[in-house]
This record gives sequence, structure tokens and C-alpha cells, in this order.
Amino acid sequence: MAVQTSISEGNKDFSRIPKDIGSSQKINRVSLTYAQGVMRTLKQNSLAMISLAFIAFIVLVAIVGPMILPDYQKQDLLHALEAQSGAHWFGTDTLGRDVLTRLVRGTRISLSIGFIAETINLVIGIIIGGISGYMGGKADMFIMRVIDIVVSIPQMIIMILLLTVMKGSVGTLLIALCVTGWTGLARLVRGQVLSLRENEYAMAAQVLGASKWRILKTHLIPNCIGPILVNYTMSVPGAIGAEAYLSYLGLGISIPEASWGNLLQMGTDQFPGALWLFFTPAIVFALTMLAFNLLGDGLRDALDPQMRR
Amino acid sequence: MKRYILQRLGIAAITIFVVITLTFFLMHMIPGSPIARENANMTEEVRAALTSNYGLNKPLGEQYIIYITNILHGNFGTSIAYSNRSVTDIIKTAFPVSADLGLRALLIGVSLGVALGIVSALRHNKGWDRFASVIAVIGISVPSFIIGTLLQAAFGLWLSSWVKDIFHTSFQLFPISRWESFRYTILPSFALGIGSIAIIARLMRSSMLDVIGQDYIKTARSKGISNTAILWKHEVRNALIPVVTVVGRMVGVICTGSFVVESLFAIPGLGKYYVNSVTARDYTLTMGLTIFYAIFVVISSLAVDILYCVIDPRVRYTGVSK
Repeated sequence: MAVQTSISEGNKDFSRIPKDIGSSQKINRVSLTYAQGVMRTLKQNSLAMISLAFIAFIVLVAIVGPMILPDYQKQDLLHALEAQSGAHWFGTDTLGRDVLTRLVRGTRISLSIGFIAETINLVIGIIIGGISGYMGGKADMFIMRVIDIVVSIPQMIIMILLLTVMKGSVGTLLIALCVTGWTGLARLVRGQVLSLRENEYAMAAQVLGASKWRILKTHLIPNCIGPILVNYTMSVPGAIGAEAYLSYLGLGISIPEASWGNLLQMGTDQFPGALWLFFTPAIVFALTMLAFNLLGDGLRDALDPQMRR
Repeated sequence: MKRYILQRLGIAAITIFVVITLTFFLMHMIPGSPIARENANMTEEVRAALTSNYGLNKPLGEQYIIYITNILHGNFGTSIAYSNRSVTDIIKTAFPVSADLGLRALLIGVSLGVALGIVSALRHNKGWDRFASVIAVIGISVPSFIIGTLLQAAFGLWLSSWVKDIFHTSFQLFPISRWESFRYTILPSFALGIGSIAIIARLMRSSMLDVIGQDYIKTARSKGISNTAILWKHEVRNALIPVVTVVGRMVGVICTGSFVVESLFAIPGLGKYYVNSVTARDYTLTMGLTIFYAIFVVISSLAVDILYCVIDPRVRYTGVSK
């Protein structure tokens, strides 16, 4: 104390500031909610933002495109297998159908399969994982054993087998993707619920008389939304890829319906005679997969509290 | 530990049983007899003889019991499309080819993946790391049939024609189809392995970053151990543990080959037979291959898990998802 006084009195460069308790208590850092924090980190990740913009663009094309463009099944045999031109920007296929129109239609079909299949898996996974984690005991044991069995059967085999039995279409592909697809999310949700239900706020809610369902709905599920979001973003390209793989083997969506898978199949069939038939869908497909994976990476970093500053 | 192994064995047995039952009944849900589809203009007697030969005239329940009994004796029936070959015979010739392809792809995936992962962890957030991450994401995003087609075009077509333009000799560095000598194996192994390079590189990178931050690395450094020794003896060795786990699980899947790569490169492995059997509606072969594939994957992952249980005592308590 004595030293301090001597400095402030002896040195004319410094002056005493009057005490202002109000402003010294003020918090200068802008407080952010969890979601705002995540968005801020995500915005700093330029790759993830570009990916997000690309996905938004592709989704927009899938919604609006088929309304503007002519019929994707229209054949014009006189102009079959023509390269890019003013009339057909991306060329024509073996039956003279316009590649751009089919690509846009295929985008709609493939994206729908990806999003719908993973949304169904998400709902099933959350319900089953939530029940398993929250109920515990025998129900949990039983569900986990069933998941162990489902997981140990190779997924591709089940999908091929189902599509051999059923005719390949959007509906049957969705069934094939969802029969086994929910297990990963169910495990994830269950793990999250198990770690969260030990938290004090869940116990407080229980003590206050909240029903199990209410605790699950208002406390537990919102708290495990982060990892689930990342998992969802990473699984959509998985489902789109599976469609392409199955259609490539001739088991998925069959022509005249268009999907990225059967466009790619025709592209590899006509390769290297008609390069545009291969490269156009291949580039769009690869860029979309890339965008989803990069966005998923970005989201995982943004949602990880240790990564946020 | 005994309890854990017994539990896993039980689950494996149930899984195999579920797969056999599911395959059998799904395949019998397809309307019409497989024999009728194969040849429309055969006489009534021939059809009856074939039907009874394949046991298709018996009630479904009886057929199922016969099928399970036969499988327990290692007999998967006779193929319909390749009429004089048994399914077991086809598996015996095709499986080694698939396993060969798969192990080569795995070797490429592990060696390049680990190397890429180490480099990007050591140059964390610098140019090399960015480069390696881009490679890894592309490897995950681009499916094997696109990579395979591009490899075929690059080596079978563009490189050859380029060399022809300049040197006026016909030249092919790597053949683009069939499975004969070492040169034939390069392109398909890469087409199949690129996906695993990506997965392993990402895993190795995050595992290395994790290890580099550990206290025992600081201890080793403060003891004055050289950087090279720390890198190889401490960092890489410890970072490999999760990679080994993942690779162990991949072995079963990758050894059964690949449907797409084998079809694309005309390799006579399990995948090619499988795809052919599906398109040719060769039901016995499809069923036999499905069941063989499932049994192989289940048993190999079981073996890997039990091996871990023996090696790493921590697994014993967390092994089966609790």
C-alpha cells in the first residue's frame, strides 16, 4: 500500500481514477448462446461455409430445376450420343435424352433418397436409442443384443439381397437403406442419454415430478443434438453413395427414371466413347459427397467445446 | 473373460442363423420358380426332373431344414447358371482371388494411410496437413467405381495413346482387366485401397495429435531422448493402437473382395460371381455366397475381438456394448 501511494503521488504521469463499482463489474464479453457460438466458429471455417453454400445450391436445383426444364424422359434418337452443344448443354445420352435435364432429375431423386432415408434412420435411432438408454435394465439389454446382431451382418449384403427380391425403386431403396441404417444412431443416442441421465439437472427434473418422457424430450434429446447433427450430416452422403453403388450394380433405380447412380452406370458403360456422359454426373456426385463430408467435419469442430475459442 | 468370449460366440451363432434364415426365406419370396425363368422352352418332364433335382417340389419348411442340414455339412447346393458346378466349388476357386485382391488393397491402404497420417500430424495445420486432409476427404467422397474407371482410362487409354504419339510403339504399363500376373493386380488394388487410405490417414492423424499432447511425450523429451526415437518409439507406436483396431475390423470385409472393383476389372472373385448370380437369377449361388460372406465376416470380426480381449485387458470390461 505504502509503495503504491508513493508512486501515484510522486509521479505526475499517473493520476488516480475515481472508483466506479458499476462499470468494473460490467461484463464486456458479449454472451453467446451455444448455437450462436457454434455458428460463429462454423463461419470462420471457409471450407465448411463453401460446402454449405454448395449443398444449398444443389438442393435448390433439385427443387426448382425439374419445374423449369423439359421432360427428362423425352427421347430424340436422331440426336443420340451428341457432345455438348447450344441445344444440349451437357450433351445427350444413348437414346438422345438431354443429359442436363436427366442430371437435374437425378439430383432430385438421389438427394431425396439421401435425406429421406437418413431422416427415417434418425427418427428410429432416436426413439430406440432413447428408450434403450433411459429405460436401462432388461429392455436395454435386449435392444443392445439385437443391435449387436444387426451390426454384425454386412450391410451391403442385406441391401443387395433385399433389392434382388424387390424391384429397385425409390421406395424399395429407402427400405433397404433403413433396415440396418438406424443402428449407428441408436447406439450414439443411447450413449449420450446414458452419460446425460447421470447429470444433476435430469435428477432435479425427476425430483420435481417430471415424467420420464418429458425429461427425455426437453432435457436429454436437446443436449445430445450436437453429435447427432454431425452423424446426420455424415450419413446423408453415405446413403447417396449407397444408392449410386446399388444402381451401378443394376439393382437400384432403373432407367427411364434418373438417379446419379444410373447416370454414372451409363457413363461408365459408354466410357471412354462419350466422356461427357461419365464426367458430368461424376463431378456433380463427387463434389456433393465432398461438400457433405467437409460440412460434417466443420460441424464437428464447431460443436466440440474444446475447439471453440 | 470366459464369459465375454462365450457371449460373443453366442451372438455370432445367432447372427449366422438369422442370416441363413433371412436369406432362405427372402429368396423363396421371389415369385416363380428359378428353373422356369432360366429356360422357357424346356419340356414338362425336364422341368419336373430339374425341380425335384433341386428339391423345389418339397414344402418350404422341409426345404429349409434340408438347406440348413446341408450347410452344416458344408454343402451349399448346386449352382443353377453354372449347372455342373457346386456352390462350394465356386467359393473354393473365387475366395482366394478375392482375398488376394483384398489383402493387397489393405496393404496399400495401411502403409500409405499411416504415412499420410503421420506427416499431417507432424505438420499440423500447415501445407502438408491441408494437402493430406484434402486427399483423405477426396478418398472418402469418390466411390471406387469412379476411381477404377478413371484409373482404367488413365493407364489403359490416355497413357498408351500418349506414348504411341511420341514413341510410335504400343505400350501398356498396367493391364486394365483380368487377374493374371503382378502387373494385373496394381490398378484394382489401388482402386479398392484408396478408400481405406483415406479412412486410415484421418484416424492416424487424430490419434497422433492426441498422443503428441500426452504427458509421457513431455517426459520422454525432458529425459533428452532424440526426436527420432520419440517419434518412432513413443508417438507412432502408441498412435497405432486405434488404427490396428480399425484395420482388424476391416480385414473380414475387405478379404471378401469388392462387388464393383471385381466387376469393373473382370476379376474372377467372390464379388464378380455374386453380381453375376444376382443378374442371372442364380438363386442357389446368391444364397450360398451371401451366407458364406456373412459367416466369414462374422467369424473374422469375432476372432479379432477375442484377440483384443487376450491382448488388451481393458476390452474385457467394455467389450460387448453394455
